[in-house]
Amino acid sequence: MKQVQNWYQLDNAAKIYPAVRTKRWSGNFRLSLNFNEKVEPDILQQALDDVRKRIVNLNLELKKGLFWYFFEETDRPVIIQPEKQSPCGRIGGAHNQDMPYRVTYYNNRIAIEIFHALADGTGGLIFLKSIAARYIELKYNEKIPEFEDIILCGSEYSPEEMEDAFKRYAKFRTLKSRSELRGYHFKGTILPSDQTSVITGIIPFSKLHEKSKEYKVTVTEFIVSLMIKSFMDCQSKSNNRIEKPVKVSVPINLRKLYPSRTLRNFALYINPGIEPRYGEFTFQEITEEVHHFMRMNNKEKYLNAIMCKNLSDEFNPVVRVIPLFLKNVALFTAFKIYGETLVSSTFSNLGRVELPPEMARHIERVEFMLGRFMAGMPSAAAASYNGNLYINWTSGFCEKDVEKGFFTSLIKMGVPVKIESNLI
Amino acid sequence: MSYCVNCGVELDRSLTKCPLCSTPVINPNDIDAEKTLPTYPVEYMQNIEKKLRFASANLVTVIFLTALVLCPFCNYVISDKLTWSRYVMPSIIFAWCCAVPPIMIRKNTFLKCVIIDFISAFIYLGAMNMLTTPNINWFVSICVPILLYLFGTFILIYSLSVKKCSVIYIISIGFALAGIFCMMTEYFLRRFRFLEMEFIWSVPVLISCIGIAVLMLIIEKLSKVSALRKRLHI
Repeated sequence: MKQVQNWYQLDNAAKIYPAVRTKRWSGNFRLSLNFNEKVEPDILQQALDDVRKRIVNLNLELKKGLFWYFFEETDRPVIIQPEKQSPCGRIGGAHNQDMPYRVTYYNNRIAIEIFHALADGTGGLIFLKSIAARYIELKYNEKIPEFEDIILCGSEYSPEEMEDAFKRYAKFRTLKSRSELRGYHFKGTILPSDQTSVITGIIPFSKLHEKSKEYKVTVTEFIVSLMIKSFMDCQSKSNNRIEKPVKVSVPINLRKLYPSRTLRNFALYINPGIEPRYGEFTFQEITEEVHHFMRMNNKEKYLNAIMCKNLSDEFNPVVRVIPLFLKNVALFTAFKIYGETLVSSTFSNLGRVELPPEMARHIERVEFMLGRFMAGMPSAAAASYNGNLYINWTSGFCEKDVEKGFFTSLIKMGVPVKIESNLI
Repeated sequence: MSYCVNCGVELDRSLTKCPLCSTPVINPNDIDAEKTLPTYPVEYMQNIEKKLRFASANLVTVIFLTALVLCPFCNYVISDKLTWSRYVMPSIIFAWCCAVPPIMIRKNTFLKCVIIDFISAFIYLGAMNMLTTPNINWFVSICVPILLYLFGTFILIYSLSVKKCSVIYIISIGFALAGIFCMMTEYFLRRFRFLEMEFIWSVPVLISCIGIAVLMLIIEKLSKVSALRKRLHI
């Protein structure tokens, strides 16, 4: 008989995702790493089972309450699967029922695809590293030492891993409004909602860093600027009578501002961009706009005010007593108004992925990928490992104008790019 | 390693075309080299675009099929026999023949679709003739010559455009053929109605069309003179 051990409320950022997912689409992201050798499924399954005994998040199942969704601990087995469907396809269904994540393998690669209600990219990376650490322990008899962001099977559980950090750190001094102008949306031939096209660019990190230094910006700011330029070029070619702002949503990892060790969501978004109605922006001007916007808005006080605004909706007594099925309709509408419509794209940079030498010698690369937007707009995610930056563009459109503009701009700047894709 | 000649990016060895611009990968030094495993499993790496086209075609087919089933059903329920729906059904099939090929065909879409449309039109009009007035053969008397002429006109203009003839030249030919078409239509209509063989309305049209065609041919010749080109460019 199934043993119910505990249950958890969804954190503030997670609440929207179950409400807006459909039969074919859910807000997922994916983290993967490639070993030097072909993955052995039996060992991987064993590694996952062992890690699940330690990490509570990996035993959670999404359930419906009368007023809210919640996570419930389950002892249901999670079966690893060979990669069969498009990356970041809908999670839940045949094998793992409504488990909010999936572990897959293909050739040398293991991947974990996570429903965003469960965790953010940082949390997901910890899951993946922990599974990989256990896999290496089992396969190569290596002893993995204590290391930042790796949860070893024998380590002690901390309740902080499951805390809702938004509620802990919100100060409620003031609330920051979410109202913004709607952003430009790239249009094209839409793919079926369960299909995602992926284009991976492998870029030498040193060259990219050097180039971003030339513009006096960080690598993230440089990539966001390039994305904005690429979207701008597409908009100017699209003959739109009224040009809309081009904005790229950038998640900010709040763990850098608050000393939280949560494995759940703890990130907020800021949307740097440009207003083409003011005139044509050169790339230099775009980088300046992005740089100053990021410096201006990536501050604890402002982010806390956004966090408080988000939480204030959740704490609203009227909202709380609305039954879940009505709340779902309201949240879906809110998502359509405030969610994807405000921005042109998203760029999530996981930064440099560090591994202990015992693991690093078995792992060739680490990648991060966002699921496609519901409306299909291209978005990008990046992770750096072993001297390379792996940037994954995911899109729900057949046309690749944005991605092409992005990569060809890099080539023109003298930054070499190697391309991989799931498009044959 | 291969580079896209169009984008300049280096391409993974498993790729057969550039994912950014669809330029095929041809590396003469790498033809015999063994391809590496694709980055993503082949099970779902089937042509996504092809899937999308099938999905769109299926959707259109379902819409037409619904109409095709509902019309005779409603007609039969109301009138106890098939009356108006006999005309609607061939029309729906004809509309389907016009709507689905542009979605499904990828290479030479325009030419192939027009050929399919002409064949469908032949069959559709023949069927309508049999259903509406089986005693009067207007299909053979009027439709066949007109459709054949239109088809020939299309092929001629299409081949001229493929040969990259000048736009003015093609338009002038188009005007001349339109004039002849009017005359031909009047001829077949009068013959069908057993009227006296004289051309009334088509002659002024033909003369106007020929006049315009000749004028445009002259312009086309003159525009090759550089001094006039800037004044006459279209």
